[in-house]
Amino acid sequence: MLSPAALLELTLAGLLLGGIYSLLSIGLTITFGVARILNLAHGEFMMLSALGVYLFFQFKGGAFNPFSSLAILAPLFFVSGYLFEKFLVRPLRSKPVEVREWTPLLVTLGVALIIEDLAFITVPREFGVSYSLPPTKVFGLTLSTTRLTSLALVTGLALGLHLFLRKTFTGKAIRATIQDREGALTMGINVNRISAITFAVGVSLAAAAGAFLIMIRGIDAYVGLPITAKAVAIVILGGMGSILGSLLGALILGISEVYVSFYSPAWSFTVAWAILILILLVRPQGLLGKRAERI
Amino acid sequence: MRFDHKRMASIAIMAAVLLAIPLFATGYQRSLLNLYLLWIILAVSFDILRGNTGYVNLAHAAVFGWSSYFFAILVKNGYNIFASMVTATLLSLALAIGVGAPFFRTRGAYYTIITLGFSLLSYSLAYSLDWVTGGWEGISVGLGDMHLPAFYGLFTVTAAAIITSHLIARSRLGLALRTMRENEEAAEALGLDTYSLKLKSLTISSIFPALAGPLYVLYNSYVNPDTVFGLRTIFAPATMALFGGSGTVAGPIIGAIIITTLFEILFTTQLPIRLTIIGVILMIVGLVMPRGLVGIVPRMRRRTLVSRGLGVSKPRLDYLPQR
Amino acid sequence: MAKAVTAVGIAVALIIGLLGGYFVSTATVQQSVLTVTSTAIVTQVSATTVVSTITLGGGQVQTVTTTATLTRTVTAQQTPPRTILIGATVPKTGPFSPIAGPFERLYMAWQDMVNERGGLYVKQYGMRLPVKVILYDDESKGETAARLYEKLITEDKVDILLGPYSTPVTLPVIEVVAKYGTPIVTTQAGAPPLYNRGLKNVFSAIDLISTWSYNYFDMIKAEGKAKTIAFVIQDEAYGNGLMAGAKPKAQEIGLTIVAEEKFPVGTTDFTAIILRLKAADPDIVFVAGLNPGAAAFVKQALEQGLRPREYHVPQLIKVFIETVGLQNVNYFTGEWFWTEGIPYDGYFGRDFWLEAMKRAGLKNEDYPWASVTWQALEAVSAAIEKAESLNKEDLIKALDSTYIMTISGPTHLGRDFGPFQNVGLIRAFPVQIVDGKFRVLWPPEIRTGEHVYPTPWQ
Repeated sequence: MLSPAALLELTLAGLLLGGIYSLLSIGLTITFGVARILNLAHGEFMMLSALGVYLFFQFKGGAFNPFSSLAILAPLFFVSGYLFEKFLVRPLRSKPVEVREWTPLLVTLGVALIIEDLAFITVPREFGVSYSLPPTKVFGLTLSTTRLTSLALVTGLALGLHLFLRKTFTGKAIRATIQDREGALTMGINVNRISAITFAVGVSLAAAAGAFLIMIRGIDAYVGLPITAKAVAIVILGGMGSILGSLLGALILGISEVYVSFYSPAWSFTVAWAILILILLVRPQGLLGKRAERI
Repeated sequence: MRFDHKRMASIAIMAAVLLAIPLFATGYQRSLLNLYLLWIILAVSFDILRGNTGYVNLAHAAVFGWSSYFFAILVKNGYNIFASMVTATLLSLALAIGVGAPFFRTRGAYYTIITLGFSLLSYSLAYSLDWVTGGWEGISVGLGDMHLPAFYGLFTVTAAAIITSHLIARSRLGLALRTMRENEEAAEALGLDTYSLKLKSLTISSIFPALAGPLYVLYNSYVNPDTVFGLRTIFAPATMALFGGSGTVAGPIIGAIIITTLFEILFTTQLPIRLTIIGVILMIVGLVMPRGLVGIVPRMRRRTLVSRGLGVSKPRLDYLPQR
Repeated sequence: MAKAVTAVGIAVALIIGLLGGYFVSTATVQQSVLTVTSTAIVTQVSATTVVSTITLGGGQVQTVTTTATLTRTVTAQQTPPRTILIGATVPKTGPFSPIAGPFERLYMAWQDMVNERGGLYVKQYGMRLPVKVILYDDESKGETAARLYEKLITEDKVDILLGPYSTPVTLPVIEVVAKYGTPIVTTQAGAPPLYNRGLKNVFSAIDLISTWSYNYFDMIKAEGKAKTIAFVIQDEAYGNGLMAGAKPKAQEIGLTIVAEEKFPVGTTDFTAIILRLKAADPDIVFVAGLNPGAAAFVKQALEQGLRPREYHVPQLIKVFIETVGLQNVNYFTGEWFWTEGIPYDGYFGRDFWLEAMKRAGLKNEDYPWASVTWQALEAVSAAIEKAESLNKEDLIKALDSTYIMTISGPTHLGRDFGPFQNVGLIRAFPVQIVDGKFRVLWPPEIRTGEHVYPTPWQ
């Protein structure tokens, strides 16, 4: 039933799906890493970016394709992420220890709900964007160009992020802060500024994910929370704070979703969640996370 | 506070009034009362675990969900109502412990996520196993007007949950749990068997949703994945308990009542920005009232669990480690 | 046991919460009677009769005669003795809000426009009475809807109900309605379990969901060109419901089913399914599902080169066309309950319907299910004007014998169809989009254009 060609196509599809998931979850994991706060409004940025792409697409009858829209939106989201950290996340960190675990959850959830309502008022129905590139035919396979582009961009972004984190001073500062915030502070790193920059980057990645997602399927104002739930699961699976872990987790989930759906689409989500739970039971800190830490 | 004849009498009168209300209420009001009771049960029992140990168990509502499903399936297949209730309760409790025990290998946020994963998995399963659970269609159990019996059942369970929460808080078990919460490693060093403690509190906490499941089906006559395994149901007990004041007995109750009332008011008005209102309230509570609503009342603040270990009520020093 | 204070506090909070909720809920319903003043108009009783023939299954032909009676005198300066109360819920929040939330505006537009012409005629009072629609938000959840309908019945004391959006939300509502016997006309809920329980007070203006595609298949049979069909089903109420009828009907007219693929809601990658479909090479690909699933599937299928002789996507609505692209959906067929080309004059007239949509700010292509809600309103109006009184029993009797013309054609509410009671006659009409314009394809009496088959792929 599964020819080598079909296997390849499926694997590619799984990788590409994982690519979109990974953009989202890497953003979440680095913001968690620096601030130790799980941002439940993360998925909303993705939805807002998709909304932005849609609105740009409607403007002047398709003058702005999603890629150019993203080029315009990315800096906007970069700034939003920065401000979000500065005015919302930072005050949350200064709460007493025993409430710091869940107060941010309530607050970011509240923000998410507000954003959803406002988005619904703007476009009270489902919306979609029909931008697509003609498929690429290579080695007798027909592949989706938009997905290939997204995979290429994701790989590029991941590589770029990797280099940024390894080679630049800011990048190393971010890694240091994720590893040990207090330690980084004593090293003279402006932890607040680093946190803000990290959020800016994380939110921009979510925005990119949103642009790619709307090219695949329709969106409505309420997709944010279920998507955030999935991203959180991937972050945990990979190990909170581990970028490579999130990438791995996203790819695993993406591939398993596609493979299982080949045999039985109805079970793809069930199996995905079951895999998640099993992995966490065997390795409670996630695939590449550090040993059980309290927040 | 003394528990003397006067207090007992006033409690008895209050209880009698509460028990009599549904007799004079309309169908809608009865179902609303049942709803209040249900959420109080879930919020209070959720907090039995969270308030004492700090573990946020997002699979709590899933126990309730499975209990509802088990009951509905049994009744639909013709089994006696009472027997089905008992079976459903026991089965779901076994599930809660069987699945919940290994989850304790994780801690903190990881525990929260893995329990969330279980709830989402439950949703998926209820959806996929449609030859048993009815899939998206759910199960319709036409038992007629059961609002009143459900009310009395729920009232009993609510009372039991509240009393249990109160008893545990003041017991040796509660003290041990809170010790473990402050610092799990230190507690172990003191000789406390943390695993068995966690298991005990999980079991006690899970009894109530297990009991509430069949009662819910009784008055709602219908169960499907969205109602019992939906995101709102999963997060509601935690939100209510934290909003009202986790770690107290009254906190979750007040949180449950206020949030449920809030939602009811929102459905029946024509405002366009419902979610925003809830969002704003969540934000305010999170930012301004970290101890929940109960924390605002100075008198009640002294009774919050955090301060409880610090000398307001006398710590029971006669609890000695077993080793 | 020092928590007596707590117990008292709890009891007080519980009571306050309940009383508060009670007061708020009763405060939102104004039981005051609207004063409608009107000048003396004497209109003669004239009847407009419309005769139409409907072909039922099995070749039977039924003649439906519908009579629209203009009501008589409305005397000057008269205060109506009461208001007709109609209850319903709409999903203002929750996953269905993008699909049906704005219907609230349609209900309000209907209410206002009906009241502008004096209201609905009620035999019991020998005059027109104003209407008031009481709407709540069911959050797209059945459990919430059930409670709210119980409120509508026991507290707001409505005379008649309209159903909520979608079968999963309607199912628990039926339980409640069965208990009290209040008449209800469901809206977008066509699943069999609602209508085979012998409930006398549950009606639907439209037919069972399994029959919605029958018009399309009748056309395919008449043309005799397509031979094979592949079904792609989204695993939810709508997709499964359509399939239950579409599959046997396809077999009945002689099509060979070469593939049957079911996928869960939320699937983002369809490569596996598309691979299998390409191997099967069907004439028709029938996409039974709501959006965004249907759109996501078709978009990927097109990208991966799946080119059947026809794509049949019942949910050929705005978001679908937006997502897949106008230039890509040329010659696609869909199913709509109403579209511009459909000529029927409804109970209030076609212009009335168009005006209501305009006032509500809704476009049919954005909210294709709105017409179904409208048909239910037409049915309710007809029953009210026909019934001996506004009592439950009389309304039910009237609904049972309501034959009316709606904007989508004639319907008979009390119709029994095999084991199902009280399902209407309205089914979806196959439409085709050609160069950006829709045309109605079947039945021949209302056809507005040729069916282009097979699709001329470039």
